[in-house]
Order: sequence, then C-alpha cells, then structure tokens
Amino acid sequence: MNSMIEPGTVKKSLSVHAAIGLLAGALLYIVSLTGTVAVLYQELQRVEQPDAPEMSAISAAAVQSGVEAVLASEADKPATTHLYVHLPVEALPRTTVTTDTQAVHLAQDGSIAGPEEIAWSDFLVNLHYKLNLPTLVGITIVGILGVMLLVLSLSGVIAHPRIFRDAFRLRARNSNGVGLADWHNRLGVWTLPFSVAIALTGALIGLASVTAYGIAVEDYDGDVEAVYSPIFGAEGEPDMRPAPVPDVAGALAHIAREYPDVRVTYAIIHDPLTRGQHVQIVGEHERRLIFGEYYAFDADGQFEHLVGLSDGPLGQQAAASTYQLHFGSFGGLAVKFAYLLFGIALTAVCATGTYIWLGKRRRRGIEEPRLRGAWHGLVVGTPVVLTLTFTARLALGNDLPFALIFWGLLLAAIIGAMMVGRSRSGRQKMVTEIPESVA
Amino acid sequence: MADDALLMAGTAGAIAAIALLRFSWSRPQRSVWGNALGWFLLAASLAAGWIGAGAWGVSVIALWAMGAAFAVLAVAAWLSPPAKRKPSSDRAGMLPEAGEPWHVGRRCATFLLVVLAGLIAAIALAIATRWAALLIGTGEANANVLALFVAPLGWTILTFLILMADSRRRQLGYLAVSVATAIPALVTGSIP
Repeated sequence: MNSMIEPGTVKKSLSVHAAIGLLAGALLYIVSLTGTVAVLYQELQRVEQPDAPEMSAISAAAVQSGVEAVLASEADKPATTHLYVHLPVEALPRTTVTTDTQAVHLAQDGSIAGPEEIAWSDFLVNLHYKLNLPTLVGITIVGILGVMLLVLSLSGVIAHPRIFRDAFRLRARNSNGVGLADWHNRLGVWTLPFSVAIALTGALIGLASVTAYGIAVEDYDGDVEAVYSPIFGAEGEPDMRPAPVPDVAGALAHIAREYPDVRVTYAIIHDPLTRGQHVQIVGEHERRLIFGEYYAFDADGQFEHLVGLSDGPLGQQAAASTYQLHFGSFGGLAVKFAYLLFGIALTAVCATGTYIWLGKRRRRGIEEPRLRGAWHGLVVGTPVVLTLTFTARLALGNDLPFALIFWGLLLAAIIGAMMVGRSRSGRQKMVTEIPESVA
Repeated sequence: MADDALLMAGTAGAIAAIALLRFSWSRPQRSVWGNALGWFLLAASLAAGWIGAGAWGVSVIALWAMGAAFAVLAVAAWLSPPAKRKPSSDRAGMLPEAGEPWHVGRRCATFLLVVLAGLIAAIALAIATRWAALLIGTGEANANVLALFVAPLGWTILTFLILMADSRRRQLGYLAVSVATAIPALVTGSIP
C-alpha cells in the first residue's frame, strides 16, 4: 500500500510526525500513562478504602431508606441539584450516594456507613481527564491531545513505507537506535486500532464542550444543554416548590420486574425534594458498548419512557458507546487487562518517540544533555511520582493535596534529571578533552 | 447460542488471520494470495463479531487480534538476531541544526494556524456537517452526534494537510475553505 506514496510525502510526513510528537509528547505520555492506570479505577477504589461495606446486591427498600437518610442529613445545607446512587456491580460491589456536597457509602440495610474516601482515585481520573486544570480548559486540552494522537497515527503510517511489511520484525537485541525504532514502530502498528479508538473517543469527549458551544451559538440561542437533549434526554422543567422524597424503590422494582436482564448501575434523582424532581435509572445491557440506557420515572416511581441509548437512532447509540470503548469497561476484567497491556504499549510508544528523535540528533553529533535529562525525568518520574502519591494516600490518609504533590514532585524530577544530564555531559566532555590536553 | 458460536469462530479466525499474515510477511517474496487470505480472514472475523454482538463483538475480536499480534511480536523479540544495519540519523526537520536560524515567528504562526485556527475551522466543519445532515432529513440526534464526531476527525485531517502543505497560502486556503463551509448554516440556521 505504502509503496504508492512518494518519497517526498514520506519525508514530509515524518517531519509532521516528529513535530507533533515533540510538541505534544510529554502531555500525551502523562495522559496515556494515567489513562492506563485509570482502567483499574473501580479496583483502585477498593484498594484505597478496603473497609467500605460491600454487597453483591441491595434491596430497593434499602436504597430508598439510604436516599432518605442522605437527604435528611443535608436538611441544613443548600439543596443538591442531583443525587446519584451507585449500585453494587461486580467490579465495585458497593452502594454509594453522591450529592453536590458529599459522597457516602450505604450499608446493606440502607443506613449511612460512612464517607467515601477515594481522593487518590479521583485525583488520578482528574489528571487523566483534565490534567488537574479547571474542567473546561483541562478537558479541551486533553481533547486536543486526542486529535494530536490521531494525527500521529496517520502521519506515522504514511511516514513508514514498510510499516505493515515489517509488522512482525522486532530486533529487541539491538541496544542502538534500531531496537528502539523497532519497539516504537511495532507497538505502534499493532496498537493502531486501539490507539485510534482511544484517541477518537477521547478527542470527542474532550472537544464535545467547545463543539457543542459552537452548535448552540449557531442554532440553540447559546443553550448548550439543548445540543445534548436529543442525544441523552432533556432535564425536566424545574419547579422548586418543596415535595417529599421521590419513590426510587418503585422505579427499581419496575426495572427488576419489566427488564430482568438489565444490570442496574445507577439511580439518579434530578432536583430532589422539589416538585420538578424526577428519577432516572441507568441500566447496562449485556454485550453492548453503550454505558447503559436511561429509564425515566416520575417522582411517584411511575415509568415514563426510555431515552433511546440502546435502541434509538444510531447517533444516540454511538454517543453512548464512546465512554466504555474509551475506558475499557465493556467486558469485565479480561478486557481491562487487554486495555492495560495496550495502554502500556501506547505509553511506551509515546516515550520512545522522543528518544528516537534524540538518538538521531546524537548520531549527527548534536548532544542535548538537558533535553535528554528532562525527558528521562518525565518518563521515569511520572510513574514513580504516581506511586509515591498512592503510597502517601495509603500511609497518610485521604486529605492530602495529591495534585499539588504530583506536579511539584514531577517538576522537581524533571529539573533534577536535567541537571544530572548536564553535569554528566560535562564530566564526559572533560574525560574526552583530558587526553587531548595531555597530548 | 448462535451468537456465542459466531463470537468464538470470529475469535479463532482473528488469531488464525494474524498467524497467516505472520507466515505470509515472513516469506522472502511477497505472497499476494497469503496476504489477501490473511486480510480476508481478519475482515470475516470482524464481520462475525458484528453479526454475533454488534459493535461490542467487533471490539472484543479486535482485542483478540491485537493480543495475538503481541504474542507473535514477543516471539520475534525473543528470537530475532541483532540487526546488521546502522540506525537512522535522518533529520526530521523539527529543530534547527547548529548555526541554522530558528524561525521562531514562522513556527509560532504555524502553531497558531494548527491549534487556534484549526479548532475554529473544525467547529465550522462540524456545524456545516450538521446543517447538511438536517437538510437531507437526518434526525436531530444523529445530526448532533455527527457534528460531535466531525470536529475531532476534521481537525485531524486539517492538521495533517496544513503541516504537509508547501506554502502558507495553501495552509490558509485549507482553513478558509473549512470555515466557509459553515456560511450556509450561519446564514440560514440549521433547524428546518
């Protein structure tokens, strides 16, 4: 296929590949590595807080009483706009209620067992999602990185005319640039379907906010929610007059009776304790990529309608499929381990790209000890600092400022490695200069 | 039951396809039939996944195919002798060599064209696509999702074209055409 591509195009494509890789490589490496670890987000929560109550299932009545208890506990706080009940699933067999201001675990009987303490897992996901920046800025930057990964995939294929012909050649024994290039190219080509899927879904999720804003300005009088309404369903009409706790148990009982094959993952109350409140149940479907279907109920637990993520227009199904495809949560532990493996490979591709470029420059006589040191600092520092923050979480508790610690230590690692690289280079220079001066 | 059988057949087919491609690509001469059969088997396996379990089936079988390729790569890494050829030292042209000018202004302009103008152009393409989709009777949900997909895909292609272009004029041309596609939507409004 690639033999049809002109040599000039190949060379230019390599320049494009190098330029994007060098500009976006560092952030892509961090996002790729944290995304790989975050595949185990549910499992990490269990490690982080091992003593939270676990259960394979919880009764609808217990959920109802848990919702009532949580809402009662917030009587003297500003009213929450949403209340989410995470229901026990195989990977995370816990019942957790989240409002605008708190998250608590429920015991089997629906009583409040204690606060959810998963600050490190949430820090990890925030790092991956938005680089710990404010949401709109961070998620857009990560979306841009998704686009850059797509450009890297495209330019990488065009820049390597023998990429498929050599797809199984891996000369790992070469410690020089040949081995490194083989690792980069082979892992790159065989993770291509994975990388493209991850990059496209990530870019779509990341850029959705700005794209939706553009569409909203053009056609919905700036109402961004209206762009999403035809896809994920609309919020109900607000009516802030007080009302009693909605019948979540009735909604759950309806699903168990009418949709026995659906695995319920969440119960959501919109505008709780107001007359405008309504209940949504999220149910997973077997062997589907969609994160679930929304089953809409009124406050009395009467079924109203499906939103259509499982059987509506193709667009709705495609949009609902992007999340599980991105996070690897559509096939249990086996798929998670596959995502872990390919995620590590993608991270290695990000790391080796810059090393290949640095190696080529070194072979042309251009030494860049500080740049090489900085890259060492980033590549080694990121997993080390992540491990340190996780260890600190287990040893010192849930309240540490993990984002601050992570970025501070990573910056120190990069600067430290730059200085070590420079001093090593200086020593080597002296060693090579001494014989000349003696002579 | 039939779906399970299709998924299992698809999985086995995907692994066999990788093995066949490995055999075909390792021969001294290119085997057109071997390559064609390998790719066909891979496509058939994905089709079996689609028929058995839709997009979920395709995703699972693609993971099996990649896993099989990784296993073959591990063997290659273990058995391959060291390469005889020297590693490449080709210039990628990203940074200047010693003594060459940096062209900071030119580089910054290219960066702004790709990132800032590229984003605006990609959103314009998304708006234009949505407008065209609604015009031919596509439902609102499909049109909106199409637009959300077009933004990153359009930006990808635009970025590649801009960086591959020989002249600034051509780069600006790509961007101008992309932005211009949204004019009908902006003038007439999209909701029919």
